[in-house]
Amino acid sequence: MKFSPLPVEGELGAMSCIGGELIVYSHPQPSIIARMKDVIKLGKFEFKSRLLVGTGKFSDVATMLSAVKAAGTQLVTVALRRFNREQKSDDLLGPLLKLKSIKLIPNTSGAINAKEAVRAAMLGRELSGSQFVKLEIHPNPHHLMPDPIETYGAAKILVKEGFIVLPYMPADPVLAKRLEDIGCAAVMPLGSAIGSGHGLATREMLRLIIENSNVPVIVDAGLRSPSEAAAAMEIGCDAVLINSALAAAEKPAEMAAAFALAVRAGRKARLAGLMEKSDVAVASSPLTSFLAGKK
Amino acid sequence: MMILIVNGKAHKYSGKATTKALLQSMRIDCERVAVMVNDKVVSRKKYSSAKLKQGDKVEILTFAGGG
Repeated sequence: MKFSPLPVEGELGAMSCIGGELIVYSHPQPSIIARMKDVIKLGKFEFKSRLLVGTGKFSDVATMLSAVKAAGTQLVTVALRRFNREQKSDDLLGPLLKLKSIKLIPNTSGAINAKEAVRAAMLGRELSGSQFVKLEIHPNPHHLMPDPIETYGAAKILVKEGFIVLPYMPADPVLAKRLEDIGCAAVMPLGSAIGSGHGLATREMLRLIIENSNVPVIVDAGLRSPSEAAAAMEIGCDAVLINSALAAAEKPAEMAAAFALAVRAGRKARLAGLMEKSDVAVASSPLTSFLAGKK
Repeated sequence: MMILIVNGKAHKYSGKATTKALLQSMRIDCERVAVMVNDKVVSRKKYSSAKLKQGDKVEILTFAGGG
């Protein structure tokens, strides 16, 4: 019996799903037990929810809050903007702080180089009191692809400054390793361009990143449908960050609930170990001893 | 009186020359914004002590929606 996605040696005990929880009830391996407390660890914090939610582009604050709640998320990203007296609705800190179960992750969007990103991170920390930062540096508004060189430079500084750095990055296994090496708490490779809804265009690169990563891999950007989120979890991503797919859905809160289910389903499938693929058909019914006279 | 550049616009200001007093004069809740003066982040602890001077570039920021 082989459960290839899990680092298990020897036989695996029988498993069953009771009340939606994975139960292992004979000779469980320690690594399986460790995974039963299935949390994602970022810095010194542990989270049960593997669905991170972005707060951009929602039609209004109430809709955004309903989506955040429906997602059951514990990590929510926000952006910095100039204070505008006329647009009080811009101030998300008040309403978000009321949701006790979430942590804020200020992002550095708008920064086009490392220096600006570091400054934005400092401001975000000042405002949120959170050590988390989603480091994003994308100088070209046409494709919003992250600048790997500036991102690396900024990450180095921010890690030294004590931030829990979550860098948005191209789906590049070499860069992912380098960002891990300098102390980033996770890597956040893109599925496809921000807001594009093109899904897991980088799937094969994501696989390589996941295979080599010792920090959580969070797919950020490009996902449109819950099935894509489930697929990301099945290939071994540790979490996904969703924003546009919720904000631009007809019913954002309903879509957030759908994504929450998909992320859990994908995660469970990953832990359950997908079957091996075969190039030929493998019968699931007995083909012998069927009719008299046949063998 | 002095002129500050607040969020990119000239701002006549005649109150006490601290970040805290400036924010209060603009009726802004200190807890809800982060402030940068001349591209340097001013920590909340220093709102009362850090002095503002003529021509200072003051950026007042808050959280908005973002992914």
